[in-house]
Amino acid sequence: MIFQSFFTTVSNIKPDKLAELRHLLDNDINADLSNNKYIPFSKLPNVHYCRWCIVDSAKNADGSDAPPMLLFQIIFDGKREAFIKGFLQDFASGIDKIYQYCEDYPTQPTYESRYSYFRKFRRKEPLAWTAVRGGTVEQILKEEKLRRGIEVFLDKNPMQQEQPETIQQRIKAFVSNTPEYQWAMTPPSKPSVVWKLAYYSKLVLLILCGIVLSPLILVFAIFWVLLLLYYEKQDNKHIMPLKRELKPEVLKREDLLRQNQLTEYGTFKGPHWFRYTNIHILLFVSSILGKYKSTKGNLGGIETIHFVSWAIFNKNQNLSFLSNYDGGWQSYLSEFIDFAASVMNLTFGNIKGYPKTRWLLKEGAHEEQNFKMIVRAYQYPCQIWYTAYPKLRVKNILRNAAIRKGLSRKMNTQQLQNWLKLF
Amino acid sequence: MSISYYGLQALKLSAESVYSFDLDFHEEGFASPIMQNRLRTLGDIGTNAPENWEWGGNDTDRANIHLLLMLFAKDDANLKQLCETFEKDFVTYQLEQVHEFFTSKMPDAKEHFGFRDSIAQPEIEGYSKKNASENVIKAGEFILGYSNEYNILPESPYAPETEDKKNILPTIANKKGYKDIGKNGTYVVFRQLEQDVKGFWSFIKKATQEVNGYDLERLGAKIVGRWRSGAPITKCPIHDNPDLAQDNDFNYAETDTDGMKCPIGAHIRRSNPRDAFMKEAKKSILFARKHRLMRRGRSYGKLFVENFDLNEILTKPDDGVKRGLYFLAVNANLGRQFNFIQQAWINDGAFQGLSHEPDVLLGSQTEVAEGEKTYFSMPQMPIRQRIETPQAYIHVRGSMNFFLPSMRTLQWIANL
Ligand code: HEM
Repeated sequence: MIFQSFFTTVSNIKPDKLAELRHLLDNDINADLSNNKYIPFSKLPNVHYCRWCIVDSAKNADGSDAPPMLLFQIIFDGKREAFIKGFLQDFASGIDKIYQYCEDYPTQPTYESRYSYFRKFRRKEPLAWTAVRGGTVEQILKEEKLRRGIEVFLDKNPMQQEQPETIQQRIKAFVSNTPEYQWAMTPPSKPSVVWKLAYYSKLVLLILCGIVLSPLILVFAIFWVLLLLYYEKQDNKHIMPLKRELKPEVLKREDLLRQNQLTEYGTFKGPHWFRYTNIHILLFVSSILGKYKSTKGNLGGIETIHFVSWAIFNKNQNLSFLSNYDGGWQSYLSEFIDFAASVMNLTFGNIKGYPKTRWLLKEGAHEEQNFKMIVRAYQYPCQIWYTAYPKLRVKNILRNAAIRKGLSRKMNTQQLQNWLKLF
Repeated sequence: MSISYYGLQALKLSAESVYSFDLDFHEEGFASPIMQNRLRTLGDIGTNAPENWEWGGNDTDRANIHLLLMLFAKDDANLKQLCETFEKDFVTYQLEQVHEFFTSKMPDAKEHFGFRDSIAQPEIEGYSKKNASENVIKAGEFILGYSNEYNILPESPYAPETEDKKNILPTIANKKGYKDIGKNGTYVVFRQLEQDVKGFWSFIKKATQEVNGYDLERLGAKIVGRWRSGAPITKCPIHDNPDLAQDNDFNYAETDTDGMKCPIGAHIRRSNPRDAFMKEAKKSILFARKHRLMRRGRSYGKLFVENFDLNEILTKPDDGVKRGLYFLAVNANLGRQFNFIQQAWINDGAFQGLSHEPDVLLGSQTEVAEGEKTYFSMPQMPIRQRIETPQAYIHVRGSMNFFLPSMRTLQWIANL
């Protein structure tokens, strides 16, 4: 089974080249994502999502303007190193074209210097979550085609009077007799034994560590929460009212039919060591939950996120939140507020300008309109955003996968009934 | 009487006050990113695009629409008289009538396709006699100045104290130095939706031939979620039961999870999924309560055939008369209520995991723009039936949001 990986970099842009870079991204690449001559995404069949955002509104910890930066994130199938190496090699001229506008990029780039540049500017995501683990781009697209094929077959062959078993057989016969779909009769690949062993032994190790260290963790947790409460009180004293903004540059690119992206960034509150440690603790805990608990496309009640990650950059002064989600901005934010407001408070609460919270969890994101305003205020446009399957939602992908799985699985009567409901 | 964004400017509210209105109420030229985004969000593209509107579809006309006046009277004669009185006032106060909308009285509260409408309406907490029912919603969802479903006051437009020298407006919470323009007022969505009655039923007629076990009435009921009488199909899926014509006491999760009775894609189930939006019914209700509308639509145009007889509808040649619905909805938060429902529930073909199934009744143009075929599926045992929905039979012919002020705010504006 092939797993998805994230790769994120943040580079400094040469200030005098900002306009040229913007033009390149906006006009030359974004105008035709599939077939532009620099990064033609049609030639990147393993890429789920990709974005390049010009970060030109970040603030340093002391409130001064941060230098303009270029944030890049690519989410793909397979191992990180191998993919990035291939990517830098196959699209060398496009990469050089973009990064010639960035500081420290080699003037005469070679294969090695390019790679070491990207390694140097890589920002490891403290949290990177995937809704459909192990669903490769190829598989996602193929399974959607398969579902469409079967649905048309069902339209043409009414079987309301048949027994479920007969319908199942006829669907199977249709799939195995159609060369285009035959592949679907073999079950999807499963994680290898080695992978499973590593996955579960890590969990066991974590639990064991947790048990052994529990007295220490408890003492630390109490101390830490008290500290958080102390800083919450301090922060609440000087919250700057934010302006409600329309952000035309964001609106221009938003509310596409079925999928959208969110790019948020802000500056850590002080004291920096505390906030920085705090976010790492939180994201560490979340990533464990994300890895072991939220495995069915549902992240804490939210079922509309494909991939989401956090990144820390600009000498650790800025925190960013990058997500690839289903539906429009309003519905995405409404779900966050209704199902994960407290989590928002704990994480975004580390950013300057976040509204007042009480007991860490209360208020803040629970105040709907105010929270939406804050999210807008810290949201910035993304010059390039690519998705490999713009028409599919997480729910569609999961449903398609279940349809395919059913073709090669033994089912009892109840399971068969449920499988037929998937159409 | 309600006021458009351009109306506020024409009435000389200060720029600061005008800006304080809901951002989803703000207007700019159609070419601007905010309007382009709104058209995309609401699905006002393709055949629903402003080019095809009868009013407000170009920047000049739109900027000239300042006030929406709605007159109600008990019969035609009284209405006529009322109109004449106002027309005289228009001259006196130098107002120009830019558009006029006549409505028709419809038998049994039906809309033009023949379905009884206006059954499911939210009741307002404190005003309704019932309490703690799922359908009793906090006042702040529909009127500014009261607590909403998040137990907070909805954002309300405001004016600097200095602009209220006569001290007419109430104070506003948490904003020192400002007065509340919004309290006891609200936002009204006004959309003209033209209905092609013959087209709609001819499409259903054709579709009945593609599926087993459906006649016109039943397939129409599946698409709307209620029989034409008004009876909810989740309660009487096989045959109409006119005794339930005004029934609104039902949910989906327990008795109709998979949509075997009322399909997930039916108009009423997607515009208010009640307890079945997600697996946990309680959570679902809480979520759905935050996306409710108070609908106050009025039909316009002559009935295609009296008493809505389906055979007659199918046989009578098209009369070329324009008819439809002036869709009017009241909400305190445009983005979270009307826009959300229209975008995430009505237009979205992937609603609740469906595939290319936008609301058949309203017919989304968004899928069309993507070059996709659209469908409507009816779950049933052992396997669903599905029809193709090639085209829309309701088209947007005008759309604008208005602010419906309180009497006090009107008085304040009159004194500006
Ligand atoms: C010409 C256009 C439309 C027609 C003919 C129409 C027709 C109907 C009918 C027959 C009902 C069932 C009666 C009832 O439950 O009260 C209904 C319910 C409803 N409609 Fe529409 N409708 C139209 C447009 C819209 C639009 C544009 C929206 C919102 C964006 C909308 C939202 C609703 C809602 C929220 C309900 C109540 C659902 C419930 O609470 O169960 N409708 N409509």
